[in-house]
Amino acid sequence: MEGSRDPFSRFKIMNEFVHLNVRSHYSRGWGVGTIEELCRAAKRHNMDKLALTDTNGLYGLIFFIHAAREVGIKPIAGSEIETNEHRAVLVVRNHEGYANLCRIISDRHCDRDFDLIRSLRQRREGLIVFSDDFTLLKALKKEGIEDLFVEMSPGYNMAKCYSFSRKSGIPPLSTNRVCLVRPDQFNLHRILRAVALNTKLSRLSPADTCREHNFLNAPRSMMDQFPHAPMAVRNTFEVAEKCLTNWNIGQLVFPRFERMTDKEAYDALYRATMEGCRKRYGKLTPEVRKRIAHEMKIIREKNFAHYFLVVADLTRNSPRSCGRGSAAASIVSYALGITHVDPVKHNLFFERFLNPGRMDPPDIDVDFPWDERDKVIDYVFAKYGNQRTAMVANHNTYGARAAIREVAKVFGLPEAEIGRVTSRIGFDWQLQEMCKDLPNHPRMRGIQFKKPWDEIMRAATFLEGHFAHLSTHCGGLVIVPDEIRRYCPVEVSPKGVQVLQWEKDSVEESGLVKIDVLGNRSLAVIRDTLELVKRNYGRHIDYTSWDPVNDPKTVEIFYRGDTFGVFYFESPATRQVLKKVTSGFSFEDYLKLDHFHLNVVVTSIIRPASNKSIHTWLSRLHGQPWQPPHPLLGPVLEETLGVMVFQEQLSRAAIFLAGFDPMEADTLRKVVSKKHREKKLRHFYARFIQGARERGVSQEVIEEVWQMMMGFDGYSFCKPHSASYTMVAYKSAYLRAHYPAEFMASVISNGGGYYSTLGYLSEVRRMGLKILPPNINESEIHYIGCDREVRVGFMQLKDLSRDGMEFMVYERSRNGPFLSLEDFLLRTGRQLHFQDVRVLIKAGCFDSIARGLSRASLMYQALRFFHDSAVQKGGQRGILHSATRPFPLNRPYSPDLMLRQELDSFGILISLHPLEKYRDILEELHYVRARDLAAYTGQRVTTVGWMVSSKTVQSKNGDPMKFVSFEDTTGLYETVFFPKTYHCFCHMLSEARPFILKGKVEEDFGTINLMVDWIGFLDQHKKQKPRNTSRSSGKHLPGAGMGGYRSFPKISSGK
Amino acid sequence: MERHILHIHIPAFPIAVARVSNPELRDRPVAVVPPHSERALLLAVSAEARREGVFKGMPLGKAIARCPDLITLPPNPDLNKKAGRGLATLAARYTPLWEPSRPGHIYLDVTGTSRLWGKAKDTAASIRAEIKSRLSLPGIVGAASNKMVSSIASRIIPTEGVLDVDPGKECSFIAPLKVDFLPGIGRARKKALLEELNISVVREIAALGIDTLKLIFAHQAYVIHQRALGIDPTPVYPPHREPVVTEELCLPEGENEDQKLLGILFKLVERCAYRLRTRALFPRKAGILIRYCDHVESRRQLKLEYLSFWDFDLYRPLQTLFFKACTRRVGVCFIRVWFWDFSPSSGQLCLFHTPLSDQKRSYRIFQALDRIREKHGEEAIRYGRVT
Repeated sequence: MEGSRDPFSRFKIMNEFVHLNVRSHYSRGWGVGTIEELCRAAKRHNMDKLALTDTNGLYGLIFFIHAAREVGIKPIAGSEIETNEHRAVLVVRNHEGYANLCRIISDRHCDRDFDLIRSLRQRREGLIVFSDDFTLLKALKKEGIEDLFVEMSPGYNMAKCYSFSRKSGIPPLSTNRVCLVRPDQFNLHRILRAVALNTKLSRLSPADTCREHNFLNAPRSMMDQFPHAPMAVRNTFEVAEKCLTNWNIGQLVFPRFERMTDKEAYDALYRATMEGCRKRYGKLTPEVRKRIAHEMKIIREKNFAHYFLVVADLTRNSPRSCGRGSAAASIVSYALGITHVDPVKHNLFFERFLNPGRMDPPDIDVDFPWDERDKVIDYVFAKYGNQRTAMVANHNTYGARAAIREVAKVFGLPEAEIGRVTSRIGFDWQLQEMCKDLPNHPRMRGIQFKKPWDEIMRAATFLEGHFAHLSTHCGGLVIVPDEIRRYCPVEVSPKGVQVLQWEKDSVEESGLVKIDVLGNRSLAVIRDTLELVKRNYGRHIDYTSWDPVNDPKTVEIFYRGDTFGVFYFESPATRQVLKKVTSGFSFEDYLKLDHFHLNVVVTSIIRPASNKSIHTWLSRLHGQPWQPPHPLLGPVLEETLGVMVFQEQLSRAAIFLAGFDPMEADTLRKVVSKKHREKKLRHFYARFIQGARERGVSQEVIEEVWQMMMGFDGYSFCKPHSASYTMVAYKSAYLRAHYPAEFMASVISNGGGYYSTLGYLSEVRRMGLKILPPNINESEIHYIGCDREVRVGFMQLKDLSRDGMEFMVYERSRNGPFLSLEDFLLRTGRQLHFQDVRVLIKAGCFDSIARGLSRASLMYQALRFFHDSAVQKGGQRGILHSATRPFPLNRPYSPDLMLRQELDSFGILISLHPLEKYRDILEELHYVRARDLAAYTGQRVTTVGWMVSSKTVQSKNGDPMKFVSFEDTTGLYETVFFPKTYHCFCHMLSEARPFILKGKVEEDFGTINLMVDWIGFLDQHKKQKPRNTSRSSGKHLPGAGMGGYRSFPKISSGK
Repeated sequence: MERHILHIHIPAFPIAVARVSNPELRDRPVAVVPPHSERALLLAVSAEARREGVFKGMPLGKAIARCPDLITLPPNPDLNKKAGRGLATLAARYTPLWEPSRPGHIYLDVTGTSRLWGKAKDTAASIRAEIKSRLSLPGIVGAASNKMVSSIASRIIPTEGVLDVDPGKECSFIAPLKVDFLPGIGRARKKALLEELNISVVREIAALGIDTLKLIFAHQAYVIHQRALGIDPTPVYPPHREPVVTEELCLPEGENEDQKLLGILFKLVERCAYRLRTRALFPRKAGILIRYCDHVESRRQLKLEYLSFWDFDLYRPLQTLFFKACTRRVGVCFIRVWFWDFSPSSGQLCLFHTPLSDQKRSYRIFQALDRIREKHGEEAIRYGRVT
């Protein structure tokens, strides 16, 4: 039959081959090519259709549809389902088939007793199945051979498969089981396999890898491999023709609140909004009523009522929340308690959140205290069930560090050597961009990138960005009205939560509406501080109705820039801008200003999109005259003194100057911040020019405003978001001002924010508060604060078990304080391990009840107790013999040993500042203290310091430089490492050692910075001094040539 | 009878040996390290290098970063063995009871030799002088009534010399020393615990009762207490006489490719097999030691199925051992192979294991190969392997 075809049929078939078994890097450990590479390669081969059949997943489906459409290829969706027993490739014929495929993949991941044959018998509808698994094919054949094929692939028992096809009557179908885009990627594939199998290259067997020819080859070359079975090739075309290729993604799928109809939901929302507004405003003004009507109209048109009700339901259950993002611009959110900033009072632009033309779903992100987030997620799953709910996933890809680490392991390098390189790789480094320059990077100084590092770096560069594993997004939730497994396959996370196979972008683009339940440490800080305030002073503060904006002591915190620990305002950059804002104003004048608005601007203006304009804004704030580029822009830029600070200002500029409608303007805003924007911007530019000209704007002004808008291209905030967070910051500042001990204790207990625990403890000292060591009868698990004292909590003892600390606190609350170590051991010895008691003794927790015994004696007593208990085994534990056998060496530890043990127990020094350890060196050294730096403006000085935070940025020329905060015993100071200095010293910077710094003091708007030009280790000071002239020290101490300690001029005694 | 034990200690033995033939190395920082790799670990370092912050076990790259003038030498096992033999010969002249504990360290029991050599400390002085004059090696000799105290005495002297501890003064000699000097005080658990009990010197351990020490050292308490009192009854064991045929190789760079590692292994097996044949020894057991680049070691041994000293009979069991031992991905930097528990050749052929004619041909080939090697050296002919 095949031989009777005309001679042209052969050529026709050659062009009709379609790759139906293609794996991308989303087939973990197998596929090498990215989706974009596969699509481009398919296009190069003049293919018009391509299937993506990743193993047990549809992880990259949405990206694939976009990438394929971009290059002009019709995308076919499918998946290769593999179990220990069976294997089959399923491609989607229609929408029902897609839903069935999602369900089968979900079952594959969630059902332990998953059986592929049984599953396909139940859910074959709408799917085309091909496989080389004869058992599976025979079983499915009983149900019918329609849409069933025998898979023939070169190198995989092809002859046997063809023979089976002829005998069974199931038609053949040819595939190339593509894992590679090009044949030269085979070595990378082998490395990937070795990584996946945790083995080395030399132990990979042929069965462990794909074949070298499993790449996306041209249809013609595929045809050449099937001269005996042209039907197998023709079937690929016929199957592809049948498959679903016109994907209609993006139709919104909203959650449904408590099975309400749309009308019921709208009515319920309206009632709740009115009720909430009455509570918030008392009497409703016409302005408020108008705003409510406007918002409700859009919500009804868009049918968003369910969504609002679902989010409001979550915040009702955990009221200490904070709506973030553009949702804070909505009066409905404010009324429902989702947000806490009045959008009318603070002039927040609602169209940034919702507008009639907006096609994408609304996005209400809500922050909850970080330790309550899991509870909120549990609530959602309990309410809507696994049937309707799943969490959004993260697609974790190999970053620079992970890629190097994994490849280096395959090449047999030991952990220490790998760590030496990876520990110096920056957080956001990309190997693809800097692979060639990496060996010359200053941070890589001292590392030789010789064999096999050259090979490792090459392979790691390829591996970077490849899919590594799926993880759970911290708070993204999707709730659908019917069955979640219809829309996207799900898996079960290690924590037991149902997770979608898609990450947030795919979820959004597919039309699934997500709710972000995010964790926020500062909300937990506020909660814990309020609890301590209630416990210590009996004062109850209601979080939702609390408005500290006009409290003078709170405002003073911002005025002085004393915002260490204050949410959103504690970074060195923000604190510096705060000081620059208030420079020249008296406190009374500052109080009269709209300081809340100023602070909203401060938090936004330091973001990358607008930080270029900080100086312009500050100058205008301090009196420099200004005019908007055009009077039409006055209302848009007036609140930020002619500078573009907020996201919505860009959209509003387009509306006011060029007559854009809100939807158009919002799209322009999104396009401006995208990477490859030029093509899309062309249309907007023409529209902008036309609109502005119609309003009589000159070409010069049009260009100026357009450039201003285009400059606003980095990361930025919208005003509602900043306002919402600034409100939380005011609450934090209020607590810092009125209850400093309670506040700082809560900050440290919740893991802090921008700084390390050591940094916060130093701030506690600077605030004049007393730090009390942990005490067995006084401490809690967390830090506690009362009056002017902060007590270290048991959580700071790094080796103390969680169970142990919980039990002893429980025992103490039940039966009162412990009287002695003996009493402690008798009451808790059954539950505590010796190691726990050992840690407590070393940390000095028993010092207050030691009754004259040294820590060594206490240790002996504990040893004796646990030894005797072990000897008695099962007998009466707890009979203490230590009283009759006192320890002969009852003498206190030496001060050195005490400090060492403190460091061992806490990980940091608590009894003193770490610089005090070097008192003898400091006495000899002439340096300026942090608190005196301002007096040396314009001069070169020497300082000492401990690094507490840092931020690496790029200079105008793209060179790396760094802002570093150092502290000494008298205060905190900011330093700048310009590119040249950074290049010399970046490898030395660490938070684990003390430094000597030399540089010039500069002042800007009242803030002091040290422009560093040399650093050295303080702890090496004595060692280096006599060796200053030696050859080796000269070589190894970068910058020694700039003037060692001796040659550097002594600037000041500073004492 | 009062015991008199001497402990000869040649500091940084491989370097001291190298300095004998190359005086330019004297007074300069020197380290012994496998060549051709910056990642190779230092096997020995001189006192001058140590003063620059270079220590044994440090990667070469890091050592050079600390001490750019560091002179590196490749390991020279033949020279070290030769020097070790010289040292042993010298020691054997003074007493039949001597124990080579590790390269550059020898214990001598000179009890009862006073009429022949004089007092123990005089013996120590003359041994040191002889080491200096005959072997040109710097020696430190500790003399005491037991092995532990003599060893501690030899560690205390910074450079060359003799330190003798009078009988009965052992306890007072070690009393002020730090607890680290006592053998058996492990770094992690026991030392940490001693620090927490504020015990830092030996005398404080000696002052504690057994009952208290049991809390820290459990069943080792008695031994530790004895040691703290300067008591060590351990005898000087004469050199281990059990014959072992062993071969080893340090790899300059960590290697994790199985084919290359098996190539090295087979080469070691061939060398051992040759030595077994020349001595007509039939091993019953074989062992392998693999050291990874991160210092982790893996050791495996097995009983051979039948007696043979032919290469092709030994390849397979050693290959099996290799795959059992080498289970990590980290590169291997050292391999040692050994055969022991020998059975003498009886000449009686096995009833059931009769060599096939192919094997006979193989035997003849190996014999021919052996002759070529004897005549032209080991590297004159090599095996090729086809897969």
